[in-house]
Amino acid sequence: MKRKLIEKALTIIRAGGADFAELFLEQRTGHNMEMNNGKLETVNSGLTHGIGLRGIAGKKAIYAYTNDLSEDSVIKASKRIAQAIEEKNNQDVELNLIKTKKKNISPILLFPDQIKKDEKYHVMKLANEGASSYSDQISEIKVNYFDYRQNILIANSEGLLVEDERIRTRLMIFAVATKGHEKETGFVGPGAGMGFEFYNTFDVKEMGKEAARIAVKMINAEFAPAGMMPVIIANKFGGVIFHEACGHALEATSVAKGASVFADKLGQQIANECVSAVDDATIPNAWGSANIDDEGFPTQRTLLIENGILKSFLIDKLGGIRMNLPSTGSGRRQNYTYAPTSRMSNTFILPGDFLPEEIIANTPKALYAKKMGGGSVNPSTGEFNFSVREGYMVENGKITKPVKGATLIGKGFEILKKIDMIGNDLERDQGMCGSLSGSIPADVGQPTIRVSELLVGGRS
Amino acid sequence: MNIKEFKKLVFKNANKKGIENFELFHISSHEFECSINKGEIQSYKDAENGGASFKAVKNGKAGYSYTEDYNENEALRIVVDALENLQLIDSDDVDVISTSTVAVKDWKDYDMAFDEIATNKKIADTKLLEEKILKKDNRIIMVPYCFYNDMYNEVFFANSNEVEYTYKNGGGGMYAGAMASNGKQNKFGMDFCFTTDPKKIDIDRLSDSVAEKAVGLLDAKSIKSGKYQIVLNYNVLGNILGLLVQMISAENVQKGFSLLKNKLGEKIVSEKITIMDKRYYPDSIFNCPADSQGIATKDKAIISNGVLNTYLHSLKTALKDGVSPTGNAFRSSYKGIESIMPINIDFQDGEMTLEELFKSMKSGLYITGVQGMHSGANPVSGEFSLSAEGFKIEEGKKAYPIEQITLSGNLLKMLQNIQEIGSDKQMSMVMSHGMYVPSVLIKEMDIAGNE
Repeated sequence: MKRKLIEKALTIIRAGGADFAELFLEQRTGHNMEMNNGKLETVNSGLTHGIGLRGIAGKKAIYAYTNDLSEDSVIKASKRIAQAIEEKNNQDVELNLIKTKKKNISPILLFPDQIKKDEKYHVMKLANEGASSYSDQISEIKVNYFDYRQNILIANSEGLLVEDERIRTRLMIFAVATKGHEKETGFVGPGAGMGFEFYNTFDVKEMGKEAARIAVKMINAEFAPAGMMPVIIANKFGGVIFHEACGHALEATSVAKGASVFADKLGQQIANECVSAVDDATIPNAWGSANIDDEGFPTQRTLLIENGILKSFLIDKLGGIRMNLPSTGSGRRQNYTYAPTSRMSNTFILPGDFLPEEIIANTPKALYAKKMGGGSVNPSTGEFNFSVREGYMVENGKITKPVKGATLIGKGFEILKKIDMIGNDLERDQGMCGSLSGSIPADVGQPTIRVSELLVGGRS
Repeated sequence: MNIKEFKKLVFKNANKKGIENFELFHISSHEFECSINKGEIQSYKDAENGGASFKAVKNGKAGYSYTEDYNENEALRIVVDALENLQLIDSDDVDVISTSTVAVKDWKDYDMAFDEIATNKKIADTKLLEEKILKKDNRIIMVPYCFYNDMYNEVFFANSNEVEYTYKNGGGGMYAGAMASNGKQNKFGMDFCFTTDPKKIDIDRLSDSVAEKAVGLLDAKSIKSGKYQIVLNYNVLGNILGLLVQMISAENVQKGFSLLKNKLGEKIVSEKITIMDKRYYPDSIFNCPADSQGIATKDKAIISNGVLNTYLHSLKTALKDGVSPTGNAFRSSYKGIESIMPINIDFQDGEMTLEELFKSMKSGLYITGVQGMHSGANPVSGEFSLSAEGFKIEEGKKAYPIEQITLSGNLLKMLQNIQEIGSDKQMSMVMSHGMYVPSVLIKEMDIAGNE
């Protein structure tokens, strides 16, 4: 897009009365494939591009998008924003865009659009083989392959002009185990801010086996017991508990409105002293990382909780205006059809001192959630729920029988205070996080933790 | 270049490349949305976009490619790309394109009623909704969500068998969520109204309902774990029936992802249950005359009197099963491929009012909300365990609100255990298709609580 048109669009929005005008231009090439029981069934690829324009006046934000990038269409969208602002017009608008350089934290070795499609097919085949070779009880296997290359340009009326490129790659393996009329599923979904070199960083076949292992373990499990009990949550995807129970309630989206249980708790003890947590978008090649956020601000590592004390929220531009606080580089969006808002990137609890085995050995009776499923939270009440994909009982300090069908529910502000042991085995895992600005890649993570008491929804 | 010119170019390129069967699916969407917080505009979105997907079929294999740019380069690139993509396919399933004609002449498209409302009026109404909710009860401390939204889609479909049609659907509505507090506990209540007819949006009724939902749950407590008789609110039942929607997809059945494999003609749930899929339901924003593959939509009974009548089919799954396609292959976007989806699920209602359901139950729980459908429910096994809230019912009446419990069960067992069906059929908040269901009384379900 020509610089002149960018300037024109921003000027129209500013002249219409906006204090701040922003343009987000995106082009994306994507590729995805689906394999069922070893046979490739779907191959789809394509190109999308579009522009999102935003005007902020006071605490009010107006957003418009279009994928007609002609001058007429862009000007028309800018004028619609100017009209909707309904503020006094600005007489003199000066605009001086200065191109910003940014550091690339995620170098790419093998760009996915330069890799032959049959090489991608081969990766899927390996995943399928791993899962199918694991056990006779595996009846169905589905493998999804995704990659995309996103090029963005962001300009705003404060003079910012910045471009960036994001590459993301993911493999999702879904295995079903069958016994009689019953079916249980296992899932793994490794992803990264990497190109095709991602598949040199782990054994794809083993990953397939892992999905199958979970399904087989669960088909031979009994239903989890119901009621209040201590819960030990393993590392990696276990971090979804922090993501749901606390992370969402720290986003400016709900904090600025006062609609979060943590809205007035900055500097206060909100978690047990053993808990420290960060949101870090600067981890090289991580799934939720980026050089800049979707408002063009440099990303950062934000200390959210230190020794149980709330240190920071996650803030985007608009949230910052509403809260009178600087951005933490947390403005994110799924694509140009969404206005950006405060979101998590890679969010995790920092490691503690215990060996995971020590935590289990020190617990007479508990549910051990080895692998978590997804979950959700209502930030205004703090109520969360999530499912346990692979569970076990802990009895007398030992892991005993596998259990299925458990759900964990509670309130975020309560569970944070009940985390009483933290392991030293921090690891992250990948997920898609959905909220107001769409579905975005985000890492969750934690070491093994113990929660002294949590409601387990199960049977019996 | 407009889409019809683009189509001509694409089809010319496809013929040149020797592709025998192909189609172009195009959708353009227009959306307006605003939200209000404390009397001020919180968000405002005014937008349009669109794109096209080319599907090439050769020797029974299909490849796809999409674009948002209608120019000569793209008209060639998507053809070459789709052709390359289909050459990788090694599935034994045979893909075809439609040869049937779709008559859309008698079809009444969405009349764009919401587009005729002035933007100022939309904003003013949204402000009014927030104001009314706040005024209802002084325990309502905030309305974190208060939205107005309208949208419409224009679909254009054409294939190499000269099947070609366009249609338009859409509508609008409002939704709001309020937060109530008693100083110790916060409770959240929400409600919505989506329709093709702006006159059906009753701000008074909506504000009453949102306020009542939030305030009604204050002072909620948990209860003892155990088995309870349950009345499921229509919206909750609609949410849980999302599992059934996945089980009746012929694609899931054929791939072994459904418990309903080999169950056609068998009684799978209580004989009180009849569930239809309808191409037109009054005021539904999902009504449409054809699916995304060139097949006319039709009304069909999925379950009649407890017996499974049909799965929902695409062209490909129908060919595999040796049946006719049911017109249920939809694309939610040009970026994706078809997935099997109902249009408007219509769960035949009964005769009892909600109060009569309570009376019939005597003692039990009335569940008004569940959370965690996307994680705590397994569409393959039908098992679910969801965070829930609602009311304790004693002597046939609401006794007190409950929270922090889980509701667990198996979809088919639950539908087998339905004792009574309510007369309060309404739309559930489901995003991808219409879901019209009543409240129901269920013999027994598992509840975990912490009392």
